[in-house]
Amino acid sequence: MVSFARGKVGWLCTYTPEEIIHAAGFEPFRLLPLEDGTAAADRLLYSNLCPYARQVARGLEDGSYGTLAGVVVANSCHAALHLYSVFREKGSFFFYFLDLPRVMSRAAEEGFAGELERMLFFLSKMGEPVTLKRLKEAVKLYAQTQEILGKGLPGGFPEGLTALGPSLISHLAFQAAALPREEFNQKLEQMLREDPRLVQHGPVGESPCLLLTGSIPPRGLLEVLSKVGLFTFYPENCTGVRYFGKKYGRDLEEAKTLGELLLGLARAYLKKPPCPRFFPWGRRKSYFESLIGKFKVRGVIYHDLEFCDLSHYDFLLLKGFFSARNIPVLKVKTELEKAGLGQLQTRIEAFLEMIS
Amino acid sequence: MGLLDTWPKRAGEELRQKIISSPYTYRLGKLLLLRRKNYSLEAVRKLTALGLELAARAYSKKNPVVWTTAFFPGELLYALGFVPFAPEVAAAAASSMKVAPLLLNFSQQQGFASDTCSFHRCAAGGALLEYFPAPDFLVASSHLCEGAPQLFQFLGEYFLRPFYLLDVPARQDGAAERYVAGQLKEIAAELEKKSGLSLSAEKLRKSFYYSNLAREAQLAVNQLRRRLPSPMRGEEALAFVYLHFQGQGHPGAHRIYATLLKELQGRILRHEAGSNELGGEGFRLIWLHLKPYFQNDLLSFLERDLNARVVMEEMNYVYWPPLDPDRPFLSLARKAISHQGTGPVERRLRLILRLVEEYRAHGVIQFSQWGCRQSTGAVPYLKEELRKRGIPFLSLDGDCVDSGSFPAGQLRTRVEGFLEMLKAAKG
Repeated sequence: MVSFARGKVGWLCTYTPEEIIHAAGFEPFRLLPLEDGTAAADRLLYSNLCPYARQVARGLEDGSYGTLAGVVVANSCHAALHLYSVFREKGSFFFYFLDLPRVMSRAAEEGFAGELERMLFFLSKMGEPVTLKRLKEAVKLYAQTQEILGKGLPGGFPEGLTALGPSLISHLAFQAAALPREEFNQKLEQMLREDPRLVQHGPVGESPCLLLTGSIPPRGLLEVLSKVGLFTFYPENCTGVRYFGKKYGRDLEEAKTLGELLLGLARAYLKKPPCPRFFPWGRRKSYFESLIGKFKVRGVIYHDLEFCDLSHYDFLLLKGFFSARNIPVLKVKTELEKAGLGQLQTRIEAFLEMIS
Repeated sequence: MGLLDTWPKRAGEELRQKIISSPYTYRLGKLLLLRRKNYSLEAVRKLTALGLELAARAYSKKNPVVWTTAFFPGELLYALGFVPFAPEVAAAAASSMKVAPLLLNFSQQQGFASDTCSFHRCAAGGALLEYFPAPDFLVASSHLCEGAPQLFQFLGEYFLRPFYLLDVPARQDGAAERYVAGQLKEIAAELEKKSGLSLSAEKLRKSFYYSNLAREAQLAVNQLRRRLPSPMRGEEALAFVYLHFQGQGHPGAHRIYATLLKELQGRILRHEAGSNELGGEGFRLIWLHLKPYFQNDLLSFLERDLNARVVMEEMNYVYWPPLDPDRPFLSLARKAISHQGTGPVERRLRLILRLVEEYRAHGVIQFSQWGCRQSTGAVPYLKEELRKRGIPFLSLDGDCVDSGSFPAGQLRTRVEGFLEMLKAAKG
């Protein structure tokens, strides 16, 4: 087991390659929305910015995330950019800014590989030198998570995620965020073997399925969903498939140089299920078409995050997409706050009753 | 009460839409404008005429219309022979014509979130209600905000028209330049292929020539504004931001700046000869972001009643090096990544500090557009950084387009308080 003598490095966006952080001797630690759902004061981040970034700001300021050696902020949106600017000289830890393309192309892959190289150099300086061998080992370790999911889930990965149900998905996301990857992989194997909460249902595609998509959900949303049963559940968001679904290709195994490995890693991240930040919309549309082909989608729950332009516009497009296919969509708008979960449950129950 | 005050109520919705979307409205407007005498600056009259002419051309649909966001390189579009139409600019115009409330309401009914930028919500309303000329193509740059490219993507799907994004990275280096240049080349090739228009080196050279001339003239204008007293009020200057949005590469833009330059030189000469035209100048201020476009007296209250002077605006800053016609795409890419609003806000802070110094400003005012994550989102950071350096800073929370979110009285009080604070600090 790796000891991570260099400490924890926080990250927010699922396009942040944990493998590089790991290879530099740090423990990647996902900065998730806070349990109490309270955001930072306006003096840190303006009130018209995403509540997720504002909660992270609060957590970094009051130490809710524990002791950190550093934070990697990807250029996901302006909330992330401003979070970086506010904290880069404030904290007792380093703050690294990772630029991120908005399109998928060969040039974007190469550009992102260049960004990963800069990140690698920076983390090598702050931690331990990242060699080809170390990075390959880290990639293997993280790819192993997918292998375990693929072998352990009935129906394979990612389709078999429906067997987990909201409560296990939530559990999985938080465990993946908090535990060293070796330990997480062990626990995951055990969970898939033994956990009684695994949903028993027929072959993937035959049971009615509910899609959860949109922005990062508040902690309570998955709990609410776990209470309302009835459907299998596919988490198309960044605590679900968009996090676990990196496309590790053979080029990663075959890479002979760090440059080749980083290009492979850039591809693995950019080719994962696209998030609303990426253009063109056609790619996301095809992705949802493929989901409809695989699952018996009866309804969609869209989590629209207040003050998040990406989710607002994505919702408008997806609403049109699903309406044209007679699939009902429920928009749930939150500020990732803890309050209001009762009301949320009532709305979701009414929605499920309608589509049942 | 003028025509503009009552016409949205009097005209029925269908008639109003027809009037706004007819090229003749803008041609008639231009004719009437040429007869008006009450412009404080001839350059403003020419600027308005250009805006009306471009609107008339967009609505006449004789040439392909391409919808653009702020800062997408206009040089490329003019060289291709397109008529650019900027929905964000149209939203500002709708606000000044009192049509914005209708468009904002409609977009809200269609599900556009009320916490997004009102420029984009208003533009969405204008697009969906067919107040705007239908696009043949849509191009957006990710320079400044996430909202505009997202809106354009939505509208591209809605109109079933090709949409191209120019992805501008946060980094400013050779790799970023090559990345942007490559995309510009691809976008240009796609636009050529789909429109049947061709882009020659000569056409690009011509549009670069005009762009560089305008740049030089604007630099000279900005240089004059450093003088004590400044020869131009911010209220006048903010109108010229239009040329950054739609004038880049247009043959008329440099003539407008040249006229402005001459007029400002005239004001200075008259001032030196003892005229009181420039008045006594109180506190000198830097203005961040844009201004409210509906009828309001915020800037005139600040500059006329309180005798302060906005001596420079971040939006009028010439942030890019001259364009090189021998390396057109690389050159346009360099221009795109040079913008102070791209990437982390430290870059913007550096510009503000530079402007404060070069224009000998006593303070900085930001008009904080609700919904703008880029500019308004940076307020706490700017406030803290300027405070550390002893530079007074005021953030005015309001809205550029939605008059319903503009607390006029409160803003006047805050402006007054700010100037009193400057006075007290001066002793």
